[in-house]
Amino acid sequence: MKTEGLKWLFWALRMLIAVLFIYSGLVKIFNPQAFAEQVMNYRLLPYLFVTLIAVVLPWLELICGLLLMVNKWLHGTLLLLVAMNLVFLIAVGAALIQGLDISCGCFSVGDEGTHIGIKKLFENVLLTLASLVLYSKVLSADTDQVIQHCKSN
Amino acid sequence: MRWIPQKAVRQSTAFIALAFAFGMVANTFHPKKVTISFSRPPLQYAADSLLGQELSPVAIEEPEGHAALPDHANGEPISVNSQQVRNLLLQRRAELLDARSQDEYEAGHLPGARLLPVERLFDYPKVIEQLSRDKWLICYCDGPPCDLGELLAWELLGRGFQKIAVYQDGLNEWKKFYPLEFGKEKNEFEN
Repeated sequence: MKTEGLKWLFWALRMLIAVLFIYSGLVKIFNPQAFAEQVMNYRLLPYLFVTLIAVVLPWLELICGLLLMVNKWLHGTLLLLVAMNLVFLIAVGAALIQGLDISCGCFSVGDEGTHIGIKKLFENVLLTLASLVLYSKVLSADTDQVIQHCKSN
Repeated sequence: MRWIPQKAVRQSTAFIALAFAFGMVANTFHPKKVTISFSRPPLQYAADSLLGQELSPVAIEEPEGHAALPDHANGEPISVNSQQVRNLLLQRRAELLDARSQDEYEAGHLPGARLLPVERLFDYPKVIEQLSRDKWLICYCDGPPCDLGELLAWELLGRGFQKIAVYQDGLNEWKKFYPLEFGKEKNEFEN
């Protein structure tokens, strides 16, 4: 019963992150210029990296979101999701330390986006933790398989 | 348990390569494509003929060596020089927007400029609401290397304003020729 509950919990977590990343990726793919402006507002990267991120990151979010949804190649997908969430967390933290009052550029582009603050930082911490939980579950499933294999031999 | 197994590294490298390829191809054909370069493309200087399009041809002379822009509302701010700023102000065809902080503004600003710090735009919604949509909005800061004026220009374009100009030479250039105003804003705008 407990295992069944956990299974559903992991499924819900996986779907939640997948939907968030698919949505986030699509919104940015439709307007890369606005997204580039938002990345630039963080004042962390030189222009070249800003433009590359504006072009590549939305597609990476979309690919990872889709793969997470269909439950495929989870090792790479979750490693990237953990890495992306950590980077987002650091970027928001750095912007807060600098005292920037900017739009987050997380799940929307343009003015309608939430601007960064402690709430946004907390959201990012939760997302990072959630993706870490899923990643460690995938890794521990590997370990279980190895143990099972050794026992059967 | 290895935290980053080889399988994860291989897969994630492949996904990054895939995203890079998709991104580059999509960006090439995207109507709002991002120009990938080492530095932001410089803004084009506006021809006076463009700035004076609602004025009589006598009011502003055609400059030398400035090509006319095809369309000012093509989603980019235009750059104006000191003379153009002065002309537009004299003809009451422009509003000046100081993109720096309040302290910097009070220590000296262009005459009649409104304070609109680009880093605190969320604190100035009513000022943004009150901005003219008929006049040119000229954004400025200290001048190179300060880029707050340009950032403010892009922010305002993103909010639907069409007639946006940047005075890139900024306050440092202006004060060589013309006087400054000091202290708080004369007509206090409600924030």
